[in-house]
Amino acid sequence: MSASIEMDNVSFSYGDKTVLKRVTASVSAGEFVCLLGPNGTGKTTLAQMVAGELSPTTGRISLTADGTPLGQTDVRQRVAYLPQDLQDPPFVTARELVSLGRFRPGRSLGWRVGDGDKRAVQECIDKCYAGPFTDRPFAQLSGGEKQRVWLAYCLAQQRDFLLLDESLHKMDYSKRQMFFSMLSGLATEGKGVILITHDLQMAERHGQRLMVLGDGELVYDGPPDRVVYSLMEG
Amino acid sequence: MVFGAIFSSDGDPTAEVIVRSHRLPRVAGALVAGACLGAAGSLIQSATRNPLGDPQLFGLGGGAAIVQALAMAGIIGLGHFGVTSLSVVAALFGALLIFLLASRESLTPARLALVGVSIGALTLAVAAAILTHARVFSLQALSLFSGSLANRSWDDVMPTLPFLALGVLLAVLAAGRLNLLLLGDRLAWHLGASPAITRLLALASAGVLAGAGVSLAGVVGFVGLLTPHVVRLLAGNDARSVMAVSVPVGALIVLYSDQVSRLALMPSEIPVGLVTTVLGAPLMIWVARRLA
Repeated sequence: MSASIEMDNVSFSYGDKTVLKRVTASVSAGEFVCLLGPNGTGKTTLAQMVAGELSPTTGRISLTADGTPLGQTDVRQRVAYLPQDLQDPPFVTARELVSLGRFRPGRSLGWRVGDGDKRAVQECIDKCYAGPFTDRPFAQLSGGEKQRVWLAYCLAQQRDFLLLDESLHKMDYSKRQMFFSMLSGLATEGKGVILITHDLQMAERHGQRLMVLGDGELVYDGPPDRVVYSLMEG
Repeated sequence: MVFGAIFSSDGDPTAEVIVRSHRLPRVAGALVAGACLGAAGSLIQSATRNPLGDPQLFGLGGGAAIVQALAMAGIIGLGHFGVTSLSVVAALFGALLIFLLASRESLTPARLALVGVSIGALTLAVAAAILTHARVFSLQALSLFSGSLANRSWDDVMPTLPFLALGVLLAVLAAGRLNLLLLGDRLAWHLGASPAITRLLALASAGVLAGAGVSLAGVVGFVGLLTPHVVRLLAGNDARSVMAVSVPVGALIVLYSDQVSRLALMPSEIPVGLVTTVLGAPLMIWVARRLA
């Protein structure tokens, strides 16, 4: 089943201030899209609308499967969203946090979940190189380590789309490179990945498609290209 | 001799009276109060994502203390069950306030704790004013503000049992989703949960338990803070286990603290809340230092 996120002439205003202006784009499962742009150009607002936290002032955002639009509940079941600046969950180890990603509505939730869940959690931890600190309290990890655990938490949800808002920026250069490469691999496996980032160099090297927002408008949408550098400079 | 006094009726009548009418209700009272406060603390900590969560520190016990002060001052005369019920209602108001504040993600754990401490201090000041106005001084007032199980009878213990059961029932209803609250409302919502309902259930349970605990033993400080931290060392971080194990561990902490309060400075008794404060206050400092 082929799913896609459709943004149709989307605008958003906070009171009198228009943050996004007539953005039209479509992201399909199997694509790795890097969303770029200077600060305050509406990247996070667009992500929040895709995730269902905000509704467009005008226009429409929908998730479609085989051309059929899905409801709000389905969006939550298909998109794993990782906002930026998350507060640390207290009391949990890294592994326990990843386990929380296995929650499904209608089921009770503890750490000692079934073998299938345990395996899935372990796979996600391995994939995100979080093995060495998996049993340490989450709050005591470094910024980069926390981001690796949050990504494992997102993967554990096994959604069709990953929507990541600056989720790699605290990692060192080599880890960031590994994770850009991993996200690209996930797209090859059929997941849709939207990553908001300021790392143009990595985005250019690993992203299949770049979307650039400038002053609330989508000023570029296409394959990595040197022209993006000039757009990013504003 | 103790077992003889409990189980047979042909032993020493003095021992029977002491054990059955004084010691046993006091032990039962310590166990019930500890179970209530321990479980309430674990629920508050999970529901507010706050390691400083405690029914007294977050002001839930303060409302119940006002009701106790009104009863001691003779301003309300409702009998044991009535006073306990009113204490529970007052603690539920405190729980509702914390529910409304904790829903705001912008409020950091340290700020929430400060707000809670302020509410707690305010309610205790009101309780103190009521007692002062009614000229209730000395030991009675001390037993409320520092917590005491001295002279508790079955008439004090029995009315709290239905509320212990109600609190546990509400906690069981919240238990399945309790872990999700640790993520914060936003992420829990994205996973498909309704975090506000779970938090409401958990804090309602905490309110019922805190009200029952304070009506039985007064303001026994830090039990709700201390117990879940001890339990996490014993039983891990799963919020369901922490809540369940906090019931017996809280009960034992208050039971043994009461023993110390009774025996440490014999023949005088020190309030049980002073013993639990000696245990809990250093922990609070340690936890607060680790909070960002």
